[in-house]
Amino acid sequence: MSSFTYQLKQAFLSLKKKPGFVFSVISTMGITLGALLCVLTLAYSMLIKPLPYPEPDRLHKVISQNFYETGELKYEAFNYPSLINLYKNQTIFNDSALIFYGKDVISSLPNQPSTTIGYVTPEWFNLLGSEFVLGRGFEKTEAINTHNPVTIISYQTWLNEFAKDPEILSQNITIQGKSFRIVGVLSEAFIEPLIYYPGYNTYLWLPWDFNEATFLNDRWEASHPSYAFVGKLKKDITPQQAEQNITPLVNNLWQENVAGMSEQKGVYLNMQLKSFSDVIVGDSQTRLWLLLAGVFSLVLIASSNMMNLFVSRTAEQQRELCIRAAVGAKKADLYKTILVETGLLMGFSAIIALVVASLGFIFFKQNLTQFLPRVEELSLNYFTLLSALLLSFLLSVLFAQISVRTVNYRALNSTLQTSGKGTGIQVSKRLRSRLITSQVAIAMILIFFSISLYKHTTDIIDAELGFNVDKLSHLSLSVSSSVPPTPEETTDILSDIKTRLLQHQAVMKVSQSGTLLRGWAGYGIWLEGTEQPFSVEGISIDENYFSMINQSFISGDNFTAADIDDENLLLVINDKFAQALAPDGSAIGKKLNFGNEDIYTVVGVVKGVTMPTDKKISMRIYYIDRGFPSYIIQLKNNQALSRSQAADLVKEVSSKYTVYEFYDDLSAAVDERLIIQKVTTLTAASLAVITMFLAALGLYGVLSYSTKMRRFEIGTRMAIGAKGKDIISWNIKENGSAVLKGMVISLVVMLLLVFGFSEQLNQYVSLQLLPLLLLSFALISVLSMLTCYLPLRRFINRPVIHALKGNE
Amino acid sequence: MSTAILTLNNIGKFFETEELETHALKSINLTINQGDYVAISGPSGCGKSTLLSIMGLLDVSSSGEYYIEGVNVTDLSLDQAADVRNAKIGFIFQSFNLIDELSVFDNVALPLRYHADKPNSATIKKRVIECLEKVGLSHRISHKPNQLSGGQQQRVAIARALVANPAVLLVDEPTGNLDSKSADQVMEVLDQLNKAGTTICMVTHDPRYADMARTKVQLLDGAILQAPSIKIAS
Repeated sequence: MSSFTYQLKQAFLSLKKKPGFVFSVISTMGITLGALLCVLTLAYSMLIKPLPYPEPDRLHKVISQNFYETGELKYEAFNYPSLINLYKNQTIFNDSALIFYGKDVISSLPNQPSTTIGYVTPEWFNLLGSEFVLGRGFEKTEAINTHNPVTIISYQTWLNEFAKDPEILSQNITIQGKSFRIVGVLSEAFIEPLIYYPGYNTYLWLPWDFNEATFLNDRWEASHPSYAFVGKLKKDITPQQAEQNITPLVNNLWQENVAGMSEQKGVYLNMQLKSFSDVIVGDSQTRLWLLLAGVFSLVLIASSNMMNLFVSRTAEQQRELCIRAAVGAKKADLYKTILVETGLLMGFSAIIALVVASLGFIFFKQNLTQFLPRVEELSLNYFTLLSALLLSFLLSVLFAQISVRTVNYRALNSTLQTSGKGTGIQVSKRLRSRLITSQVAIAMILIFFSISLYKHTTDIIDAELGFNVDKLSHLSLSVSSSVPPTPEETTDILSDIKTRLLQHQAVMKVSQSGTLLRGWAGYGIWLEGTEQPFSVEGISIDENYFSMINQSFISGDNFTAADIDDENLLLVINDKFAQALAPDGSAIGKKLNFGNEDIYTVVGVVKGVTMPTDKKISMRIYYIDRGFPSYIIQLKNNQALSRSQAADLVKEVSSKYTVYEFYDDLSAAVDERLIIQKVTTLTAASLAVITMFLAALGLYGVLSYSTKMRRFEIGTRMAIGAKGKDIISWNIKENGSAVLKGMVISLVVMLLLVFGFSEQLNQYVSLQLLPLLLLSFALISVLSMLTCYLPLRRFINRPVIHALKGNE
Repeated sequence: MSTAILTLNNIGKFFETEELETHALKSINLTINQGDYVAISGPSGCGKSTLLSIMGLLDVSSSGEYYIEGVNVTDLSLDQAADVRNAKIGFIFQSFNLIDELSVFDNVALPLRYHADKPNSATIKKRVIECLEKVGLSHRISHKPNQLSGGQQQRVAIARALVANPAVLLVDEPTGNLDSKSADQVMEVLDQLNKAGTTICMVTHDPRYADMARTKVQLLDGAILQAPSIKIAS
């Protein structure tokens, strides 16, 4: 048997006798290293791993920036004619594609699911090197202006909606009454570049011609955020050169076409190139760094705990080490013995860590795709395995070093010579205090930040919305026929659907209104008689809207039923906009226009409401549009309305509309908006609990070790008359200064962080955090006292001789 | 008539494992009177230290009854036992058991810190100096234990044992960790204390020092073999 095998076997047998120690090490390091591996793999995916496309560094998205004359950015979005101009006339990309991100209903499927759709030009799939499990990508016959109704579906759609039907290519699907022949199914391995926003996956692709914004095709002045231009930059052209090349190409023609439009005076376009990786990663790096800081801190605190445990373990091994030294083991031999043991433990921890990391990947994929990019690509890979190997090796060496440093080789021999009576290897009081201090400081910082983050996110979640969503459902419709209904037909059909909804036994009240949680459209609006424009958000509502959601009026009146019937040019605005319109007076009666001849009159001002996660109240308008296919439905008590019931009801009235989106409970929509906050809350709470657990384990470890080492002193004190409570208060006093020092250090570090990162932490830091700080102090104090007390129990609750003899 | 300080009636101590019951002490009957100087000796493993631990309320007996100054202390709670130890018993250990981080003064004063009467600082100081003078170490009052020789450390331990005016000193192998010169000095101090009226019960395996006691008790396999001049409780 080789020396290494022998030592490995000895280490295994030795550890087998200490299941508690082994469990503590493997569980603590397994979990924390697992969390670290998970986040490191994410960091690798986000920052290092090449995108899974051919020549990914050359792939760019072009962003159309609209600037005011003053140089202030107006918005970033393409107008359709400029987009086509760029697509047809650019010379700096080898290949380019257009995509429009939309959503619609597949009405040919029994459940009529809403699905996200990418309207693309054929080059899209070539650029991405897409592979197909069945069929093909789009071809020249499906290019712009061919109007060839074909479709490509994602692997998920094939799986979920067609049960992986091998005959899928012979089938058609219907969208807006138009039939599309399925010509391809993307491979399961296809990873869509999420260049629209994180978590927005596309499940169906249609040729560009069928995009939902065709009404904007000749509108130079109107932009849409869902248009995107992507291309593979020529090898010898830099992004800066490309920007200089295409900006005049786009801007000059645009300027010619908006020359007569007063609202576009002075406005100019600038083309900005962003690499796919920059677009995909976006501003998520801050979140990644925060996550990394969190898990690194956890590993730090866990490693600190492990140092304590390993030092205790070495102390326990005193006799064994003595015997080894007595029979000739050198210091290096003792080090090897300890290293094999720490290596074995870290090896097992790494295995657990890989399992934990895999579970973490699943959690990330289920919850964080909207929060972090490239999460769907997470899996155990060479990087993860290599990191696990490296980390476990480094930690093995670290723990072995720390352990062996506590062994005084000379003292070992003398210990043996004196039969070990009353002497032993010990960690100095200074090192012990430092371990406690560092433990407390790290724990304090982590707990305080976790609690603060938890409070911040729960405050957002629990914030008063200022409107009611209880017992409210939301139904929005889309056109399902190939021939859209005329405006008159639209009004009649939507009115009939409202009536039909009201007749349903579960429904108490219906408002033909936009949803209050999504779908706010942006408008430019002008105060009559001035050239002052305002950027506002608006939705169409009817007379029931405000009463149903309990939004209160500050002044003026609501729309009347007659106003709705006649589609009068009236507006209700919120107080924020009223303040901007008439800072010193009433906004009621003010006349506004949308840049055309129609003049709207303000008839009412309502109190502004904040949508969940909104940092401020926007300026808002409420107008009348009887052709707006959206309803808020108030249900009777204990009644429910399902999507399929709503779909049947719509179908009864007209086949020209289908259900686009249905929330049986609007609070679900609120929850959807709060997903990031909820995940953050969960993460912060978990971090606080894990930190408390690790801090408890660490403090207990160091104090338990310290108590063990001082058992003779404890025994002596008890022998001369100290009672249990005397020993407890003595131990608390002994360690109190180290705990206090840790708290002070944490306070200093937190203050430095607050001042150093004041900009980033501004929204989190306030005097309201003082109670949380006190709570953190209290938690750590209680924890410290408990960990001072618990290790003493084995001595103070038993006859003194146990402490004096050390036979626990 | 001499006053009985410690009285042990049929004291037994056994340890149980799953397979085995070991009798460390078998029905020990022993009385130590005021002013006695008793040496308990015997071979290694005969139960000397176990007996001393029970006498010092550091351990509990498995059977029998134990009295200190006529009071039954067999079944005291841990806190009650601590009070009795503090007030009635002074311990001297083989390895001195001084606390390294405390000065000589603080080591000696330690029992008074736990005393029920909570003496004030002046009283503590006076009493500590008295005791250190008795062992000839008042000039080392500010030193730390590791600045003293082994013999000096043991004399500090004796001072600590005396400081609360105990009824009896229980001494466990006081010379075990000392060279012969230091051992002689310590034994001389104990002798003088006894002559001054202090009751001493000492465990030793060294026959030379056992002979210095006025009374010798021989233990073998957990039972008293020989106690020629002391009263065996009936």
